[in-house]
Amino acid sequence: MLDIENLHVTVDGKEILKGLTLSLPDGEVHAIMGPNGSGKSTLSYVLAGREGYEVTEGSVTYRGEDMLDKEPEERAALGLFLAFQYPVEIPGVANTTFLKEAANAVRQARGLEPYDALQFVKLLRAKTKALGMKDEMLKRAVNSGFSGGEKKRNEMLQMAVLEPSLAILDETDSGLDIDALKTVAEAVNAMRMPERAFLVITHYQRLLNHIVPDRIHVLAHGRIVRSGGYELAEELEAKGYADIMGEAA
Amino acid sequence: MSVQTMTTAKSFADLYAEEAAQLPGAALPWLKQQREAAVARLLDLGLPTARMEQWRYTPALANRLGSIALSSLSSGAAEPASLLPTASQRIAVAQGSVLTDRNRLASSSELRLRTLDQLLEDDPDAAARLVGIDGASAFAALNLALLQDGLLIEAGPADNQQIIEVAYSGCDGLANLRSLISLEAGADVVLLERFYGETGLANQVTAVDVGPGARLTHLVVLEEGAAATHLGELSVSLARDAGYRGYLLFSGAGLARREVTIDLAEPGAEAVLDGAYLLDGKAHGDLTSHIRHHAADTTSKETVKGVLGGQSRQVFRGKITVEAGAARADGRMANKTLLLSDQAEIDSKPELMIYHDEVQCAHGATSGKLDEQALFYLRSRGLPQPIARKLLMRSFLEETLERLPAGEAQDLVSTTLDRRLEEIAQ
Repeated sequence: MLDIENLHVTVDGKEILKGLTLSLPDGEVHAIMGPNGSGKSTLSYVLAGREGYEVTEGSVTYRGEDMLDKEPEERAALGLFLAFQYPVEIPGVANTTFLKEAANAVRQARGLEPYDALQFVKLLRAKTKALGMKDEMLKRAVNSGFSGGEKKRNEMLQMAVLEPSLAILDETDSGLDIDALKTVAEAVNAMRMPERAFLVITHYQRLLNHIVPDRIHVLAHGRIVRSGGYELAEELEAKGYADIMGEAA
Repeated sequence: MSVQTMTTAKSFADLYAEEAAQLPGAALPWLKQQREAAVARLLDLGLPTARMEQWRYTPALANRLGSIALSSLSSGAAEPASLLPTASQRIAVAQGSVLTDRNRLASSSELRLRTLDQLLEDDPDAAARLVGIDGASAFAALNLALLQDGLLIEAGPADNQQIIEVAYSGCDGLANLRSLISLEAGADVVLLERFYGETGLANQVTAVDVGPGARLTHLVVLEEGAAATHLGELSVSLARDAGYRGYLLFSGAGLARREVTIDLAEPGAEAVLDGAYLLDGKAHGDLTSHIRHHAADTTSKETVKGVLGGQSRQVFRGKITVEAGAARADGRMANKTLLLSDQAEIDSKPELMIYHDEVQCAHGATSGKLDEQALFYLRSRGLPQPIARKLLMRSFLEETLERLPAGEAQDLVSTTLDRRLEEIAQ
């Protein structure tokens, strides 16, 4: 699904990613854990195509295609989704309108028929219910005045509607209480399937108790310093990042 | 050294001398006297220059005027399409004259419309009121001197809201028209004025008088072409518990300037003056407003936003005055602008003058670019850049629509914004 090879990324002249290599096969869930400042968010932004992140070396291949020369909307159309750590508030644009515009833009780009209004409302109702969200949140402006938990649920709703092949969750667990955390995990687990892969970026092991990953990578100083199975998360929880990073250094 | 012909106050005085005999009511001594006094005032004042504070950010108007001629119906006029399906009265204006058949003008106690020629024939007192609208500026004087037509709109209490649509389909030369809108106690009126000529100079003078407890929703949509110039002066006076909700949309004209004065004359009066500038190319839009709180418990809110592309320029001058005795007055003003290009320019000057304690007043002005983070967010959801940009601009403007009554009026402004953003967002 996704192959990242020796990726070097510079932001404002400072190198943040320094030779990151990672391979995520179809159908798998990988977690990236790392301390603050290790480059986790930079990785998610580079994958989604944000401006201002300069790739100086390396490659990102998604389903055999070079991803780096594509616009963010092209990546979305190809099936990439990034759940933001800090979802953006868009006052004055109803959530439903936004979701429909986005879903249809993506469907059109994928050569699918756009949803008609009725179809879409039905779809949205079902997905909203599954996420334990109130219908009222669909009428409100996108993320506007939403609580932290509501914003994260809304990200999961967008993911469910856009049906990506590769979903990247950037610290989706941060600021969530245990109920919201479980909802997010259930949303991800419900979408796991052989044609879809997830990259779950997190600081804490907590989320990984609910979304059990196939593999865990530790990101430090801009590169993957350790990879392993679920036991790596437990080790991190027990020893902390300093030890692991010390070992790697 | 080349000699350039500049339009001056004198040029207009000469034009008056040529046209005087053909103007409406030329045979009426009282009107002739008022026109001549207006010419004298115009000559005395001269055309505005950048040295005048009120015109500081809209200079060089004289250069735009070029050689002037009075607009005449003989140069043809198109009957414009209607925009408000439920309008109880539609009026078409072109070349400075009301085209609508006089027999089709409402004439009841709920709503009555009369044109200048009707008034001059049947109701000299009302004609004198229309002619006598106070206008201190040179362009108000010009409007009177060469006044071609006028509208008196009178509304009384009615079971239904009265909806009036006036479409100004443009002029080839100078077009001077004035209107007086007078709402009796309890009247409830929606007035849409839409301007969309390709050329010429529309020089409007409008006075609004809202009686006790009456409400006027007043939409002014300027959609003239790049070669057109639009000048408008509007004065609004509000009686006890009267409400005025104005929306002004600058959406075209090469140069458009609107000067609005609102007097909250009696307690409980409430004024809203919202609007948007959607400018591109070399368009220049100027809103100069002055809201005066004369009485206690009066409220005013003004939210004007701009989306500026190309080399366009937005001027916003907003002044709130709270006079002594206007206890608990509440005046709020905000001007926010999105600059889409490095060459677009905004001049914003909010002012507060407060002569009474215990009042609440606030003003603010901001300008900036589209939020990159928000743009990326939308694009990462698959929205192509132009659509994402448009959505963000729409989101930015949404606040200006909040105080418009839901229904036709709001829909009209909303679709006009959408249509115009399609062009600007490119």
